[in-house]
Amino acid sequence: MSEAQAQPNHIKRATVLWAILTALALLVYVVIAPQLSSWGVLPKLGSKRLDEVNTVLWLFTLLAIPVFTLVVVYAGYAVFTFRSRGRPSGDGPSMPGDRRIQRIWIISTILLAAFLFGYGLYFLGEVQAAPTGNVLQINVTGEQWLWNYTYPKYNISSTELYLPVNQAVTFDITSLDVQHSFWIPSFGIKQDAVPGEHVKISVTPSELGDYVVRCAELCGLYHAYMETPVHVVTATEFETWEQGQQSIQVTPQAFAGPTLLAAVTNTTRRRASVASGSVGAA
Amino acid sequence: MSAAIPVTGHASAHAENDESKVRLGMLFYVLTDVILVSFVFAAYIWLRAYNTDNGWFPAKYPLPNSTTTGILVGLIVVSAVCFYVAYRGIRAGNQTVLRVGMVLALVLLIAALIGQIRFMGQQGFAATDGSFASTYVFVSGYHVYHMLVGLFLGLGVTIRALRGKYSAERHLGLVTIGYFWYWMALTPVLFTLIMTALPPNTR
Amino acid sequence: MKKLFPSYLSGAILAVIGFIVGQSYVYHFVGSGNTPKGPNFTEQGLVLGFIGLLVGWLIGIGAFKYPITWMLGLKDPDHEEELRLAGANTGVSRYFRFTTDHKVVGIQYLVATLIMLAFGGLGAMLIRIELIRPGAKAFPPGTYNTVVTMHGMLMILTTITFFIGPFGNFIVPIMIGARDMAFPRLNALSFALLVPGVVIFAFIPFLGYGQGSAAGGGAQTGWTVLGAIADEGGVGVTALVCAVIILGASSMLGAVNLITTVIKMRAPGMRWTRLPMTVWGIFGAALLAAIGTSSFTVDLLLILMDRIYKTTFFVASTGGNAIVNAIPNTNFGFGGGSAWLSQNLFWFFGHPEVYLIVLPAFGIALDVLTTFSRKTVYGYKMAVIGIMGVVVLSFLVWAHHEFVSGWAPEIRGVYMATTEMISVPTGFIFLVLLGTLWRGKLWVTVPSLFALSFIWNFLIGGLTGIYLSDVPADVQLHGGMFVTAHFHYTIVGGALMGFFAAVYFWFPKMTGRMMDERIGWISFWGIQIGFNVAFMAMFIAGLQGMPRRVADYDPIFANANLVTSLGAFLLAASIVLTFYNIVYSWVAGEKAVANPWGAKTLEWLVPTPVPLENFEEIPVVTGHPYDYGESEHMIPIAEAPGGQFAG
Ligand code: HEA
Ligand code: HEA
Ligand code: CUA
Ligand SMILES: [Cu+2]
Repeated sequence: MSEAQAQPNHIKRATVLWAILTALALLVYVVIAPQLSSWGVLPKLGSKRLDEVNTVLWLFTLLAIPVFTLVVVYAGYAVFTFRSRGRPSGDGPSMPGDRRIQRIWIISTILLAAFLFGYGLYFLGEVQAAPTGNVLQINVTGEQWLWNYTYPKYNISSTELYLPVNQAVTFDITSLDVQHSFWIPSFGIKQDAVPGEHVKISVTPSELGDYVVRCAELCGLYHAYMETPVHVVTATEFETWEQGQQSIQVTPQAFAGPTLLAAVTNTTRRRASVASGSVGAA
Repeated sequence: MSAAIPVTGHASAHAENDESKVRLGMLFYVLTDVILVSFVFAAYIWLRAYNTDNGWFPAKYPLPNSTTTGILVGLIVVSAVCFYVAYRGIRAGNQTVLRVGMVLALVLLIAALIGQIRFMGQQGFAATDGSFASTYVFVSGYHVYHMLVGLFLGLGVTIRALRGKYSAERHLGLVTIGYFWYWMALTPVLFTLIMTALPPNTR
Repeated sequence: MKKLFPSYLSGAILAVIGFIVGQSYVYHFVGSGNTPKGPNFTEQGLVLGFIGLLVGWLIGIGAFKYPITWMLGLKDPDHEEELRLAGANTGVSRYFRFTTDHKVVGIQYLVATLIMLAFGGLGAMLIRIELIRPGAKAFPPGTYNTVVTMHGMLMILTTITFFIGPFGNFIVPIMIGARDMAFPRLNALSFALLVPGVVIFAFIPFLGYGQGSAAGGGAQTGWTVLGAIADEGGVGVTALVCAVIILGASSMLGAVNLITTVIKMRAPGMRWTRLPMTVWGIFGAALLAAIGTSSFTVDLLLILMDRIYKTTFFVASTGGNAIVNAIPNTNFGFGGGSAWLSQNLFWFFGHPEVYLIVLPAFGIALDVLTTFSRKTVYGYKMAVIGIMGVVVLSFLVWAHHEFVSGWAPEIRGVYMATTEMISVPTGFIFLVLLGTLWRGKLWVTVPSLFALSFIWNFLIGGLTGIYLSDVPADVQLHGGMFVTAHFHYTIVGGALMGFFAAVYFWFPKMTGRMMDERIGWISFWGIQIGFNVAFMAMFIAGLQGMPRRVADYDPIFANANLVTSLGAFLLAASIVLTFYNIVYSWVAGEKAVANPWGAKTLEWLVPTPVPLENFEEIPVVTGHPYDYGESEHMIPIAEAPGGQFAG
C-alpha cells in the first residue's frame, strides 16, 4: 500500500474519467435518441406498442452506457497507465481480491438486474393484457409463403391486411404447414404461427399508413419473400374495402409460386428478381 | 505454480486410482444415457399434454398386449438379477456362481431381445398412427438399441468369465458393466410405470 | 502394409466402401422387396450409407481392435502396447492414425477445427456476398438458406470443439499434472468420430435436388432444425441430422473423458482451489456438453424417425388430418405431434451450448491476462463461482428463445428473471478481469491483445443479450438481425477472440515455434476493426426491422448491409492472415523455448516439445498457479527454466 500512496490516486482518476465519459455518452445518446425514428434506424411508428418497445430500448441503452464505460474505462486506464514496455522485469503487486469491492460489485449488479426485471415485468403485464370492449377479431393463417386473413365478423377473407385505425384488433394466429412468425415491425408485435396451435395477440394501430408484415421464422424456400402489405385506413375506407371483398373461402388461398409474390408485394426488387429467374430456381 | 519432485514414485498409488477412474467414467456414461432417456420420457409426457387436435391415440387401435409386455419386462429384470448374483458370486470368489449367473443373464437378455423385436412387429398400430404410437415405437426401438449394446458387453463379460479373467480382487468389468445392465433393465420398468400413470387410451 | 493398416488412409478407403455397400446394397436386402439394387439417395439408402461409412472408417483406423480383444478375453494390453498406441517412436505418421497420446489428439483437433472454421467462414463470406445488395443476385434463396444453415451449424460445431478439443486435450492434462487423459482410447475415438461427422456434413449441399420437394435442395432448416421444417425438408436434412448426431456423440465422449480426467487425474497437491482458470472454464464447458447434448440428440432422433418411419412427433393434425400431407413427397399418418416439443428439446440444449462455447474463453482470458500482467487472479473464488454459477443457471433459461413461440406465455416472466440473473455471475468474470489488469505490468503481446479485445467485444454482446431478455423488447427484436448481431458479438467477439488468444499463447508449447508477432498485430487490428464495423451495422439493420435468414430484403436495409459486408470482408481477410501466420510459423517460425512467456502453470514447466508421457515423475504441487508477486516462488522471466523436473 505504501507504494501506492507515492503514486497519483489512480482509482480516483479513472473514476473521474469514467464519470466524464459516461456523462458525455449519455448526453450524446439523449440528444440523438429522438432522431432515431426519423433517420430510419427504428421502424416507422404505427402503434403505441412500438412506442413502448422503443422506450424499453431507450432505457436499456441509458443503463447500458454507464456499465459499458465503467468496464472499458477501468480496463483501458489500467492498460495505458500500468503496462510495461516490452517484457516486464518483475511481477505486479499481489492483489488476491478485495472483499469490499467484490461485495459492492455483486450487490450493485444484483440490484441492476433486479431493476431490469421489475421494469420488464411491469411492461410485460401491459403487453399481455387483453383489450376490452369492442375488439375486431382477425384469424391469421400462415402458409408457405403467404398470410391468409379471415374476418369472421364480416365473413370475408384476404391475403392483404386491412385494419381500421384506432380499433383494437386481436389476431388468432395459426399455421398450415411449418412454423412462421407474424411480425409487424411498425406495431412492435410478433407471434409465431405454429401448426395445430392457435395463439392470440392484440394491438391497436394508431397511425394511418401502409406497413408490412414480415415472416420472422425460417419457413423454407421463399421465407425471404413472405412479406405482405398492411394498410391502416380510416373506418369508412375500411368499410368500402370490406364490402368489396369476397366471402370466406372454404379452403384458404394457396401459394401460387413466386408470381403471386410479385403481385402481392409490389416492390420492384421482387419483380426484378423473379424476372431474372433468381427467385424461381430452388 | 510451484511444484516439487515427489518423494514417492508414481507407480504405487496408481492401480487404485485406475479402478476408481474407470468406475467414475462408466458412471458418467450411464448418466448421460439416463439424461437422454429422461428426455425421451419427457417427450412422451409432453405429447400427451400438448398433442394437437387429440392426436394422441385414436380409439380404434388396440393397446400393446399387457401380458406380453409384462413377460418382456420380467425377462430383462430377471436378467439383471442374475447379473447381480454373478457379481456377488465373484466378489466372494466363487467362479461357478459367476459363470452360471452370467450365462443366465445373457440368455435372458437374448430372449428378451428377440421377443421385443417380434412384439414390435405385431402391434395393432403403426408408427404413423398418432403421437402415442410414435413415442411407443421410439421407446421400444431405443430399448432394442440398449439391449444390442448389452448383448455386446454381456458377451464380453461372459467370455471373460468363462476364461477365468475375474477374481475376488479384480472384477471391475462386472461393476462397471453392471451400471449399464441395471439401467438397461430399469428403463422398460420406468416406461411401463409412466404408461400406467398416463395411459394411452384415456384423454 | 503394416504402416498403412490401421491408418487414416485405410480408414478412408473402408469408409468409401462402407458407404457404397450400405447405400447401394444393404437397403436392397433389408428393404421391402421392391427396393432396387444400386445407388439410391432416398432417406433410408442414405442413412444406411452413412452407417456403412462410419463403420468402415472405424474398422479401417483400427478402433475396434481393443473392444474385440477385450470381448474375447485375449491378452490385456500392457504398458509397452499402450505406449505404441500412443505413438512412441513413430514420427509424423502418428498424426494420421488412431493415436491415443493426448497431445497428438490435441494437435489433430487443432488442425480439424481450423479447417472447420475456414469452411464456416467461407459460408459467412457467401452470406455477406449475397446480402451486400438487395435482390438475391448472387445465388437463389434455396441455396442461401442452405448456406446459412451450414454456416450456423458448422460454426457452432467448431466453436463447441475448439477449446475442449485442442486445448482441453493438449493443455489441460499437463496443467493438472497428468500423464494423459483418463481414457486415452475414448479420447482418440472422440476425434475419430469427428472426422466422419464432418464428412457427412459436407454431403448436405449436394443432396435433395430434383425430387419436387417443396423445400428444395440442401438443408434449409436453419441451425435450429425445428421439427416441422426439418420434417418436410429434402434429404439434405437427413445428412445434417446424421452428421450432428455423430458429432454430438463425439463431443459427449470428449466431455465425459475430460470431466473424469479433471476429477481423478490431478497431481498430488493439485487441489480444486489450485486449478488454473482455463481448467475451470473447460471443466464447466464439459459439464454443459455432457448434460445438455442429450436433449438435442433426442430431438434429432425424433426428426429422423419422422423422416424415415413417418412417425408424427412434430407433425400436427387439424381435424383428424395431418396437415403436412398438403406438401408433396410427404406422407404422414394421423398427426398429433407438437412443433413446440422440438423447439424445447432444441433450446434446452441450445442455451447451455452457447455458454459451453464461451466458458473456456473466460478461463483463457484470465490465464492469459494474469500471465502477461504478472499478477494473480483478482478473486479466484469469485471467478470460480462465476463460472459454476453460469453452468447451473444456463439450464434454467432456455425458454428465452421462445418468448414469441406462443408456448406457455404465462411463465415468460420466470425465464426473464433467470436470464437476467445469469448476468450477475457473468459479471463476476468482468470484475475479476478488471482487478487483474489493475496495477498489472501488462506486457502487450498478440495473445494479451486478443484477451483484452474479449472484454470489449463480449461486453457489447452480453449487454445486448440483456435487451433480448426483456420480453417486450424481444417481441420486437426476435427473429431479426439484432439477435444475429448479439450472438456474433458474444461468439465471435468473445469465444473466437479467446480462441485466437489461446492459439497465439499456447502455439509455442504445442508446436515448438513462436508465431510471427508482426503479422499477428496486423491481423489483430484488422479483425477488431472489421468485426466491430460489420456487426455494429448489423445491430442497426436489426433495429430497423430486418428479419434473419433472408436471401433478399427491403432496400431500406441496404446501407446497413453494405457496411456489414464490407466490415466482414476486412474481418475475413484479417483472419486469413492469422491462418497464414499459423501455417507459416508452424513451418518456419522462430524456435520456442520451454517457457517463452514466463508463465507459472505446469504446462510451461515441461520441456518443448513435450515428451511422450509429459512428466518423468508426477509433480507434487505446493502452491497456487498464480503466485506472482510472492517472490520466493518467482520463476526467472528472462531465461526459461527449460523444465525443472522433466527428463
Ligand atoms: C457465446 C454465446 C452466447 C452468450 C454468452 C450469450 C449471452 C446472453 N444471451 Fe444470447 N444468444 C446466443 C449466444 C450467446 N448469448 C445465440 C447463439 C443466440 C441466438 C440463437 C438463434 O436464435 O439462432 C442468442 C439469443 C439470445 C436470446 C434470444 C433472442 C431471440 O431469439 O429472441 C436472448 C434473450 O434473452 C439472449 C440473451 C442473452 C443474455 C441475457 C446473455 C447473458 O449471459 C449476457 C451476460 C453478460 C453481461 C450482461 C455483460 C457483463 C456483465 C456485467 C458487466 C455485469 C453488470 C451487468 C448487468 C447486471 C446487466 N440471447
Ligand atoms: C458459432 C460461431 C459463429 C461464427 C464464428 C460466425 C462467424 C461469422 N458469421 Fe455467423 N452465424 C452463426 C454462428 C457463427 N458465425 C450462427 C449460429 C448463425 C445462425 C444461423 C441460422 O440462422 O440458422 C449465423 C448467421 C450469420 C448471419 C446471418 C444470416 C442470416 O440470418 O441471414 C450472418 C450474416 O452476416 C453471419 C455472418 C458471419 C460472419 C461475417 C462471421 C465472421 O466472423 C467469419 C469470419 C471469417 C472466417 C472465420 C474465415 C476466414 C477464412 C476464410 C475466408 C477461408 C480461407 C480459407 C483457407 C485459409 C483455407 N452469420
Ligand atoms: Cu414464413 Cu418465414
Ligand atoms: Cu439463450
